[in-house]
Amino acid sequence: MTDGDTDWRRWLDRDGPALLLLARQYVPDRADAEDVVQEAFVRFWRARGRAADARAYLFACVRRCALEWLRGTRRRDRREEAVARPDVADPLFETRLVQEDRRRQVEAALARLPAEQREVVILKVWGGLTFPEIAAALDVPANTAASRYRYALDRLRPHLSEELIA
Amino acid sequence: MTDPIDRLEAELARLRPVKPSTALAARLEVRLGRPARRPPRWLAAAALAAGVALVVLAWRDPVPPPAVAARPLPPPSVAAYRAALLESPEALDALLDRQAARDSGEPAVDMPTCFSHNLD
Repeated sequence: MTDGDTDWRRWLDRDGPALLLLARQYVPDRADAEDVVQEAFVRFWRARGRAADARAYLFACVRRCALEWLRGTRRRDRREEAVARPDVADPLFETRLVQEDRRRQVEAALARLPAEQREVVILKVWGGLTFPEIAAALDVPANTAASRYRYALDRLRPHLSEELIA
Repeated sequence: MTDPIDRLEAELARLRPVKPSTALAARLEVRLGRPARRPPRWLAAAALAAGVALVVLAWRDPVPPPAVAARPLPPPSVAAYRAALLESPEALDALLDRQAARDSGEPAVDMPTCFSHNLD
């Protein structure tokens, strides 16, 4: 283990944005999503030595904590309240003003994907994980992860303007 | 020709996910603490060597306290000689011996005598 592995800040700086993006696929509210990331990160940091693939384990912890959050009965009420509120959710991506339309297009297209495809896209594009790492994080075969990814991009393309992908 | 999947992926990757708040990092610092920094091995070895050296020095024979030097006796007064003469010839001899030892440089031992008071 290198000296960098003893500094949890380096892990957070590198993977924090993707971790938060993944958490927000299950937990709409940003503050709740950060709570999920916090708990997941603590679990990961204390047990990372036992993981075969530390990065895959980190993302798996976030996903597992987010699903646990969803299953919580007291949080289910809050989720229903959040759904009932007008859509004033914080953006998922940082953008300059000229990219605002693009951001909205991408976020809307991602929201239309099935959950299992959306999480693969997030892990691959913004998490930077390989398909074997994604497979370890999601506990699926690598071929399954790769197939989900291609299906997801096939579904995304029609919803994105030609200007976006030209 | 670039794969359309690659182009779409590259375009998506240009968007940067929102970073976690600084409050999250602060909460993690409370939970996880500051990153551990291990002291260099040479420093630990030097500390161990210093500790061993201190133990060795502590077990050495203590330095004996400096010897208390015998105080040189002041020369006898006239009254002391007169008193010794009145007492006995032997007392006068003892007084003269002590004076002789003092003059020769031999340290004289502060002996309690019967003539401690000054008759001057």
